[in-house]
Amino acid sequence: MSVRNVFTKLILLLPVFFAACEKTIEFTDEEVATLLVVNCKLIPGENIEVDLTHTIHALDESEYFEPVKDATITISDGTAESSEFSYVPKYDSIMRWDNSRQVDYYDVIEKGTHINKVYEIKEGHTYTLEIDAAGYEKVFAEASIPDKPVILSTDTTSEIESNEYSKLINRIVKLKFSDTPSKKNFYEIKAQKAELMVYFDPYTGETNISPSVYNQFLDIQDPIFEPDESDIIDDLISSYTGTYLFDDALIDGKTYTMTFQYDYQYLSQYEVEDPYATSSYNFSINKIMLISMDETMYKYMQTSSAQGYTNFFSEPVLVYTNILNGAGVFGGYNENAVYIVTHNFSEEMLDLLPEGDAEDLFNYIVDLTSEYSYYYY
Amino acid sequence: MKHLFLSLIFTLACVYTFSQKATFSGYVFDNATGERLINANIYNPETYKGTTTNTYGFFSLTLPKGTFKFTVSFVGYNSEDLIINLQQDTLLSIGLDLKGALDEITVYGEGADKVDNSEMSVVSLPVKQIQKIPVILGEPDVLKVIQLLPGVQSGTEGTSGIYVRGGGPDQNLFMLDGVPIYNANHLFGFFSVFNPASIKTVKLYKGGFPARFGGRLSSVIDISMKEGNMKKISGEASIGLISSRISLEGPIVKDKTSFIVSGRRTYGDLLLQPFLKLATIQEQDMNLSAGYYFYDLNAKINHIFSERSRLYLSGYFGKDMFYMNLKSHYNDDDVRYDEKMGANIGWGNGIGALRWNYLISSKLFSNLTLTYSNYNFDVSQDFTMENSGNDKIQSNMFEYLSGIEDMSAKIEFDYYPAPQHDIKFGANYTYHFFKPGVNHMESIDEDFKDFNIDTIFGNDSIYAHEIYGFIEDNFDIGPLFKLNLGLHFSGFDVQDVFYPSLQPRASIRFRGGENWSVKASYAMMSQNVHLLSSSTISLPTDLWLPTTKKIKPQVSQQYALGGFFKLPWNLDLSVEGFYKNMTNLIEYKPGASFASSTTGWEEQIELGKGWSYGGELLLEKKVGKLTGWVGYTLSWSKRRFKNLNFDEPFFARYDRRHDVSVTLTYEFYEDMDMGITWVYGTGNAVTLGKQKFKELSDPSTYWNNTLTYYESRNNYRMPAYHRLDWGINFHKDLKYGRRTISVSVYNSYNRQNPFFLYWGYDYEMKTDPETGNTYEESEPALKQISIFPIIPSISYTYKF
Repeated sequence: MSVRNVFTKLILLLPVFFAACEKTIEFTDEEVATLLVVNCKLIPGENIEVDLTHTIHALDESEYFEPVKDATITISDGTAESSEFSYVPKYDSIMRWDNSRQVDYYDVIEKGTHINKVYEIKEGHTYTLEIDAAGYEKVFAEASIPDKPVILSTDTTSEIESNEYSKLINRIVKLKFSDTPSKKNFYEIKAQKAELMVYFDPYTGETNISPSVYNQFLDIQDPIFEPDESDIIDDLISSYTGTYLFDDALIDGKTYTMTFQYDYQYLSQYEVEDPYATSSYNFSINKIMLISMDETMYKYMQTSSAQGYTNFFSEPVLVYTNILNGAGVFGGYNENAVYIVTHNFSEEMLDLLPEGDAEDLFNYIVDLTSEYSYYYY
Repeated sequence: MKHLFLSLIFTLACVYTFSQKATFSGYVFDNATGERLINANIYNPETYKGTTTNTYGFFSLTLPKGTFKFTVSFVGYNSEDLIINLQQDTLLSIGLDLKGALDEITVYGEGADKVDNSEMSVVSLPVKQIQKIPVILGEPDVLKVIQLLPGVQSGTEGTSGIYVRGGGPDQNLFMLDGVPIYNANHLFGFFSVFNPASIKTVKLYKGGFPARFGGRLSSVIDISMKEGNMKKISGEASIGLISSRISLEGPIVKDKTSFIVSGRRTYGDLLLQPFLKLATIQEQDMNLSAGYYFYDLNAKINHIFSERSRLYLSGYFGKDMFYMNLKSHYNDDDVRYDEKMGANIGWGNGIGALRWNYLISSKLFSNLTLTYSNYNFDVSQDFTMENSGNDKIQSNMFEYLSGIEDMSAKIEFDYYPAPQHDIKFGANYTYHFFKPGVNHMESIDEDFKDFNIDTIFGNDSIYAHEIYGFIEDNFDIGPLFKLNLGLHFSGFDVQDVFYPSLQPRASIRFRGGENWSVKASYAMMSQNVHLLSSSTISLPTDLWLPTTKKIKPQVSQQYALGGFFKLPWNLDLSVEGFYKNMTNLIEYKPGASFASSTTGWEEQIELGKGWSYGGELLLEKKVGKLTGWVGYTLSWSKRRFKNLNFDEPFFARYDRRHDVSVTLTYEFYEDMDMGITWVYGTGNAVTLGKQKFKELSDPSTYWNNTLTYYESRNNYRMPAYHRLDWGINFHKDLKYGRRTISVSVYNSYNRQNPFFLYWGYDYEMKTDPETGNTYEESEPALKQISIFPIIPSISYTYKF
């Protein structure tokens, strides 16, 4: 129990006092101009995908952001430009609540994006984006593509801590990378785990496959995340959001080794009479990513991540945007990754996986997960 | 040799010239109580030339030998005419009699001063007037009245925090008998700590600061306590709806030593207990007590050793406390277990001052002051469980403490070389001890002894030394110009870093005629303490923090220009414009809050700058049956922080475009007077997310897909604030004193003024036409919380 909790609880009793003095304020639409929202991450070698939506009034309960389909999008690096974007629809099923009937029901929503498959994004280039959509102010943005981060080596070890009840497997990575000198670089360290669980049901003889992909919690105690005067909320982000952003203020032009722990696994020491326990197999690929990004993307990710971790007493967090006359982000992004595979598959089971390296297999599991995903709105 | 001779002649000439002059000095006091009067006028009625008494009621006039007529006047008192044959230095104490309630007060009170003196951006508030102005729950409040003055903004509804000329709430120096008070608020700021029964004078400086003041950027609120009646025992007792107060004063040795003691306590918590008992009547095994109270205690004693020497000892102690105690018991296997749980939130100030006035010569007055001041805030929670054998089985305790403690020594001198010339100089040393948040945790469990905890953690205490020296010279240049020039030097030594600051001060008056003058002023100020406060709500958790190696002192420069006019019907008009810039202001970082902080306070703040500008108009009437003022302020206040609002300027929280106040009191009869107040202010600026938008998607992130869109910090204006208060006082002379029944109504037309806003829901019951089922339908809405509806109150006061 901390002072914050004690005090917060007492403060939260105040609404009982205030309830009698509450009223609704007229908040009219005229005060709010709907803005075009652009979300676009430029990645070298990949198609340009522009997610175009619009802002929703705070009084609108819906959290479904309808795509803005009718728009003219132009991207340019000053020498070559392209407007060959086509809207590609995607659909999702969402669960809604019918208040009058007091039941859930499924609905289908469209969430397509504008894709350009012909324009090539190159490292070191700066791009401008111009979007003209009917009913909205024309928006402009600029992004630069940073150099691909240089990972020099990774060294992975596992530590096992056990007591009479459980066993903890703790994986430690030493990631050695070099920073490009004489320019401000912005990074994110991130780990994702793609997992394929296979169960053989001893009673029915059926085989169940369960794919999943999720972000890993990283335990990083590194001075590189110490906030300096130019950082806005590094300490908050590092402590709470699981997003590990840093700049090169302390390592400009240097080779640096960052050590962190990830992929904790607790295993029970008890013998359990569970037929599944002996008939389940796991194939995991950990993707450790070092991502470089332009300053725009860095600021956006810092602020958007921090906004999700505020409370009633928090100072407001304004999400950074570089979209002139709009909201969202248009930023450059370049990632380098290493893959670490762990599994207890038999040789026969490995043959069931497609041909390819660890990256291919990671992407294979990601594709499998899309068949299982649905969203709540 | 020739030069030496000339120097000798010059020196002798000076001595001769001075020997043709004599000094008329002394004190002005209230004949009925012996209380010395501050800012009383002593002047020649033909030429209007003269002087005013200082903070201790002392004056000094050096004039050519001869016979002079003087008028001694003070607002609310009969003027006294004197004819003095001044052949040698003369020390004289002059007593004035209080006017009858309905007598027309003679002119030349402070109104004449405002046109004549070089001070600007200064307002004096007579305590008698403060007591007539209707206020919430019938409790007269100094700060609530100060909020009615132009250039002064209140915070959120009901609070007595003040924001002067676009400055922050920490930039006001509250001084009670020369001792700084760090938290001037009770009950989150709904009441101030100054008990009106013990106050003699209140003076507010908004700009043009004389060099003797320093340490805060935006204002000085100089409050003097009464000295205590030297003639007879007198007192006052008052019973109101939420509090009662009592004050007693009188001579210990007549005309030599006097005392004053006053106390005040709220009793809402006592009234609440029967209701809590009723609410928990079903719970036989439970005993709950909870509530809130505050109390004040002021005490002062003074002794006159001689006409030249006087000693004052004064103190103030005040405390606010929220508390909750719960006792319960249960039986298990024939063993009775008793549980106790308690939670407290408390804060309070304690100050003490020892002052010695000594008249070194008829022209040189000195004052030595030793002061102690502390402010503490603490939150605690404890739980214990005992069995029937009184064995403590389990207990845990958590306590959070923060505060500040000061010890100061100050010496000041007033030197009066000539009638239109006075010089003040002095020096001060303060030892600061900051405690910016310490946690104490203790946990004992008999079953898990290995896990018992007793630990202290938190921010390190900080020690600092602060010094300042000043000199100011107030003098006339011919009949038209009057200047006050000064220099304030301060130094702050903390964490092996020394921050020096040299602050020039200047104000000039041009007197265009008998009834009007124009003034201009410049003041540079420096502040070595900072208040880290939330922008969402003002709480006593706000931390007083020192300047450190990383956090630089706040500095401001203020320029003001004004015109002062004496109008017909005893009206005074002042019009002022100002521009103020401020650097090294502090704010919480985005996302930070006192409720979630895990890192040191220095890591949670941002440094930035601010500026404000505007104009103020004050039309006053201090004479006659109808008194009061109309104030209007038009102002802008902005801030710019590198890491807030993306380095773009934004409006300060309490930027208020228009601020109007009308405050009138009228004496119908000797036994009845009435006060009425109307205020209007543009709504406060708050940060409100008016829209939401889609986050850049991450396939592995299933949460936080929606972001709130704020176009800028403080992007929305709350609804305007306005209310009308009125009150009537009925007086009656009784056998041993005078009683007053005060009836007042706060917020007469029940305006729901905003306290804070949030996104919530409106609810409505509906019926499904197909099924006939009823269900609750909710619609999102912007909700406003208000605190004070129309509040009538009554109080009974008896003075003897």
